[in-house]
Amino acid sequence: MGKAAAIGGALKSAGSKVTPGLTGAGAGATAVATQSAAKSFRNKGFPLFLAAVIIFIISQVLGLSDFYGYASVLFMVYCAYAVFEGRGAYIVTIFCVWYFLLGRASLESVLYYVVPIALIGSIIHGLLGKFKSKDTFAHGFTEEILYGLGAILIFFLDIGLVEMVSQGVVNLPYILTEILRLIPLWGYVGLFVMIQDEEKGEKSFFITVAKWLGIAYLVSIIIFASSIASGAEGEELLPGIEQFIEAKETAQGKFAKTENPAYSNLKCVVQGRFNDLPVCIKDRQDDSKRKVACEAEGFPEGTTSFNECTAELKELDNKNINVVGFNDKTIKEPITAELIPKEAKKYDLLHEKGQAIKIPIDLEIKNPRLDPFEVYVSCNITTQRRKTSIGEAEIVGFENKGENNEKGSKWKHFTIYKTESSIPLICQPTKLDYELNEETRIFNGSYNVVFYVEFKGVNTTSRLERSFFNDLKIYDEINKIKDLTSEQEQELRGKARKDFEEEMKEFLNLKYSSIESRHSTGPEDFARIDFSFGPSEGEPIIETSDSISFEADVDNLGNGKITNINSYNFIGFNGVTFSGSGCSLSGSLNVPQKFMKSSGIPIHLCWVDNLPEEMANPALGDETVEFRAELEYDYLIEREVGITAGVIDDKSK
Amino acid sequence: MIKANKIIGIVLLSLFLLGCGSGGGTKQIDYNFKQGTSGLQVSFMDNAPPKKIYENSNFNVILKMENKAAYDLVNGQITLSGINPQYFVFEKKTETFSILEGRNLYLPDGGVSYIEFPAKSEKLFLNAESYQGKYFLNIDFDSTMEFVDTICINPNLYSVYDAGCQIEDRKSYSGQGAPLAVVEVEEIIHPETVGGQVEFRFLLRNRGQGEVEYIELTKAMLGSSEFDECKFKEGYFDSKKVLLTKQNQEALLVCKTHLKEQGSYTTTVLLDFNYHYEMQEVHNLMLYE
Repeated sequence: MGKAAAIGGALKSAGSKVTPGLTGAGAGATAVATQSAAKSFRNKGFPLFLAAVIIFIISQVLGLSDFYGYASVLFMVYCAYAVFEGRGAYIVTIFCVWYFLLGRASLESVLYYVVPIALIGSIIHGLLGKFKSKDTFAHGFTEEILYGLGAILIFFLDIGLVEMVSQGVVNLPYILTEILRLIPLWGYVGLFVMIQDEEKGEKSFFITVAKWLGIAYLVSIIIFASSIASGAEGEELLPGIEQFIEAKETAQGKFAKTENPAYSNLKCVVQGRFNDLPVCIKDRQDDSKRKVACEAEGFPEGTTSFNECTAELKELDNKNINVVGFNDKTIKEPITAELIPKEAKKYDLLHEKGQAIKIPIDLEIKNPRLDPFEVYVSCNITTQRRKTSIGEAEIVGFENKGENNEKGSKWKHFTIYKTESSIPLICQPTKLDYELNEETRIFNGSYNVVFYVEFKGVNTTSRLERSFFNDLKIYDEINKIKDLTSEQEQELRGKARKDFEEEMKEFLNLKYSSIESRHSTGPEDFARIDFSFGPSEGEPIIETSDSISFEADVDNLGNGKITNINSYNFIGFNGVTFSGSGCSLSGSLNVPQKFMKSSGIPIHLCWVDNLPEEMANPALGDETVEFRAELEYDYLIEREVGITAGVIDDKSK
Repeated sequence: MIKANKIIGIVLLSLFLLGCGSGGGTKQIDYNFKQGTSGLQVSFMDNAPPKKIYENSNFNVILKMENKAAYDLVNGQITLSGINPQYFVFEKKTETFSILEGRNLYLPDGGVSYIEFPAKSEKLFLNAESYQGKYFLNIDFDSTMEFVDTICINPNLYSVYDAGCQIEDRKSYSGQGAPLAVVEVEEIIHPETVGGQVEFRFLLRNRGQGEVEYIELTKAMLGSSEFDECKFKEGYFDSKKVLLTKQNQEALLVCKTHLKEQGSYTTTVLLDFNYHYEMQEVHNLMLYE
């Protein structure tokens, strides 16, 4: 045979399923793999598993959470129709119609839609099953309910229900929220179905590999889960899919692009850090979060400002301060503020063409201490689903401050002079993205109006009481006894020390009987500065020979954001010296974005070198001192209201 | 008849005079104050301090001290501690007294003293409605206590024919007129064959509300002689002084002496003690707007 014939033979054989050129064991292995894949594909769980995993990976890498959210809907429908073999299909279908097309808007809609959905779907299934003589009505009814609601629950869990629940209702273990955030739930449903079906039939190599990979991934996520706060908001009874996704993103602290813990695990293993694997993974996760946070602040990676930003965040993280403080119960009237809409749910606003829309809200402020802070107000109008701004809006009246908020709307400003104020705010659009004319249907639909109120220069003070004892004086009486042997002296000193400790215990229980009295307390305003001073947190008795630490942080007590700490000042520490530098008794702090809503903005963690004479050596047995901490800060609150706008028809006049 | 009446009258008059005249010039009423365990009683005068103290006002804390013990209290110090000076400012937080007489025939209710602490209240914290200031009233002083009792010494433990006094192995007491009390005495006779010694074990206990810091033995007599040896079981060096702890407010004093006589006899045991006593009470000052 010539070369051509040999090549032709080779090409001919290339058309077969066996890889050209492969013979014997190699050809057999390929055939097995192909057959295994083919077998797997016939399994109903396989398409679900494959699609869910691929889409999850794409959404994680490219940050397309929205895309994943909508794909999750399709997975839910596929699951009901194919995987569950039609069980729950009616409920899922009717649910999709209600949720996506009818807007699942109100409590009434639950009664009018959700319950009937479940009942109708179940009845249909039960009746059809009975007529086809496959099943009893009751069995069909029950199956429809269980499978249908199950599919819907998996859908919500997959797109962010757990993050919302953990933020608003109960404290769920963060490991649970993290697992559900980072695993493709539908993928695992598909995998589970595949494994179940495989048990009934032939084993598939592909399914076995997928099973073990799935387990390995799940285990790695469980091990390296990290706590993230969630911050979803929503006015509706059941938030829209975008809000779930937003909650998920918010739960990630807008770190949707942070490194996947499983990848961090792999990198640390490759680096050989077997002895401190969890520490390595946590470091990589923290570095990733700081990187994303600084990029979000507008500092591109590689720049000096980016490096400074990450270093500052790292320093704040490393302080690891969380000081306990309590609200002062003797202050019954703290500073409060609330935005109260005129309507309980949505505003229905009818307007004539060309007429300005006005959306009102009341700002109720209680300022019993007549603190002279300033109030800045602004508003923004967005579409309901996408939350995108439709143009510029402003609060009517008040002095224009000349600055814009982050959404581009103007800040207006005024000062509070009374202990109680109820200020009506009216939001009005000033410039829209498209013209308001009679041809264009603008403001004829559902929108959200977000009101922003920032309080600048709010003052608060906290106090902390401590008692100082000179524990060295307890040996005075022993020192008077002459000619003691060292064993006798040691024994006596031991008894005296024990006696002193008993006395301190009694003093503690009598003077500092409540837990609040052992910690710092302050009014329950928007924020509170907490600080501790002593041998350990919550220990109010300080002995001359103690090592003393000084810690402070700021707690966010409300639902808003601490946007800036203008100043802090600690009083009563005259004569106290601290070791090292960086422990000043006054200063200010730029609050990083990720700390604005959090409880526990760290300020200080220092050690005391020396106490002044009156604290180290109290003249009369003990010295009681009250320390104070003053804080001035800015605070932002927001409130979103839904509006349904309609244009009054000329004919209706 | 008249003679008989005269005789009867003289007899009656003699009886009357005898009854009135007995005692040879001593007080008409003899009362032993050195019993029980009463000590110093402290109370506040009405409205000092007031139940409600208002911001930026002056007030007084006035203590009435009554010594119900049978012994003088000396070198006393009264201290107010734990006061938060942000809210209450005292001109002075310590007062002393040199002597507060104990109960005696001329002062059957004991000495009384009034101690005054002037003070001023400051402003409340921010717009708080009230402030509860817990503080401690600490009083310490020196005092004495005397134990006297008649006891039986009988060296012949096995003698059948000695009808002398009966030894009481163990005797209990209800106090000697001070918070520190000898509560129990144990008498142990060591016969001639083992040295002819008598040993007394005196158990002292704090029966008051405060604490005894230390006890010092200043005198120990059996009859007209001193004990050969007296020491506190947990004492140090000369063992005539013992420091007590919070948990253990008892001390055991062991005194021994040689027996001088062969036969049984009753005699007096006398012990004098000095002790330092501390009392602490917790009280409230309530500040309102």
